[in-house]
Amino acid sequence: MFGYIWQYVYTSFLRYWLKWLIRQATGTCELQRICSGYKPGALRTTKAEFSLQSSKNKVLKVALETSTNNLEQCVDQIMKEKNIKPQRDPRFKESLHICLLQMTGYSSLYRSVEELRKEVYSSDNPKHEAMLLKLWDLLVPTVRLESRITKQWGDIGFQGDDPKTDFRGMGLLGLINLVFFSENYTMEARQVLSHANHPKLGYSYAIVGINLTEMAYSLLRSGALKPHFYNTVQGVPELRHFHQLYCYLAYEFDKFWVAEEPESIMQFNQYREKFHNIVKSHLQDPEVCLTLTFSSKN
Amino acid sequence: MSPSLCVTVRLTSPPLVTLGGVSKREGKKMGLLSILRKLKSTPDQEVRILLLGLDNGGKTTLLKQLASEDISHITPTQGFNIKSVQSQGFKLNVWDIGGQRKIRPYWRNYFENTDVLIYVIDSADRKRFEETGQELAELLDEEKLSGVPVLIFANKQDLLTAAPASEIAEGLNLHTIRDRMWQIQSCSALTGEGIQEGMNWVCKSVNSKKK
Repeated sequence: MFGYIWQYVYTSFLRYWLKWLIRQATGTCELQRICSGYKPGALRTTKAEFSLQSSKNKVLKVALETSTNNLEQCVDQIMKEKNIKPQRDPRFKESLHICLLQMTGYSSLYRSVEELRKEVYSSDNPKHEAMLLKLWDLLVPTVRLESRITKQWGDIGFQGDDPKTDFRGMGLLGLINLVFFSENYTMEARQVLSHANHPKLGYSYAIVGINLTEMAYSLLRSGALKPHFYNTVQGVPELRHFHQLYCYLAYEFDKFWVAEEPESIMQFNQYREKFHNIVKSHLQDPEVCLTLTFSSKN
Repeated sequence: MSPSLCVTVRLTSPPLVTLGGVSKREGKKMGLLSILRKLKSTPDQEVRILLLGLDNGGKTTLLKQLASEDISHITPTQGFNIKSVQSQGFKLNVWDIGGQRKIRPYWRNYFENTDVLIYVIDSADRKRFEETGQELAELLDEEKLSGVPVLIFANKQDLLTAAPASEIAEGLNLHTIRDRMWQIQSCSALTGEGIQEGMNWVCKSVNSKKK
């Protein structure tokens, strides 16, 4: 109760006065102090984001909804509004610009990801079909697919004879992630597949992959991935960065599963939750970088 | 978590149960469970429901729909999901087990103490009617499921190509079932249509089984 009252008083009055006081004393505004006080990355961008969000100034507030192309203009406006002289703080403009690219980029990344997720896999779409066949060729280059509808799909962990019903709520996003991992980390993907096909410790490679796409997607949606992207991308995060994160999850989950030696595949959701919690706890660290540690072939 | 651990039938009032002169001690001999089952409309009675069917039938969507959860991000079930739902004075513990061929052998690990079996069929996937019929027939032959009421959901009625429930009932020879209560209910787990009717039947069959 006391916490709530304190928070209310702080955010609505104290914070404002405090900022004003420090501003009078140091001659710099909060955004300037953030940009000069913290190194580039999650710490700086998260603090700047909070500062903009809680600002009562309209120019600062709309910055978070500005499109990428107009951001430079937006930074100029903020500097004018806050009376920041480029001569006195030459690095501020660039720093704030990057922060804003990261913040607005995160929202636009979510929109692009959501678009792919909503695209339903269709057997009538030759692009979708080609992608599916490519996945097979990347994972099992030595075996030919007998036909488009075959039990062989089970060898890479789809449920039935036709993978199209397995993408479900993740739509095309699930397939693109699977292909991205197999294409950019071919050796690792095949290694993970071989673990998945283990007679005792095995799991269904493709549908677990689709499940991990759901994990990546919901982490993105909740905003939990912000520190990761703020640390790893100094600018606008793109789709490939999201696919990279999927690769991290796919590779790390496999490592985790093999190390834990679950009794059977029926325990999947229990271990998935455990893994999910580990990832979430990593994301609490402001220095977090969820990247694969080996180099890719590209 | 062992599936059988979750099955308890309990009363919210103190278990001072005497039924037609049967004392609590004697009651224990003939199984506390069977006595409790004889009590009508016991509040908060737990019911174990098993949700089975082929992959892509819509089991998880149905489960989420029952629990009033978002159904737009569903992925294939690896292993199982479980949710508890309150309905008509019952606490329904619903076990949704993955339908993939590879994990069907695990289904039997969840049979014990099942009160009602719900079997979900994709009414639009005619190519797999035979397969789904076979799986159902095998389930009905299981000793651990003998006498357990079965509700068949003819799901995906929102699709134009869906077969009507009557056609599915005929194809599966449901009318030959004599050893248990059964019901077929057309529904759409996507829109929620028909689910309430099916669940009403589930609660009714649990009640009548206790009598």
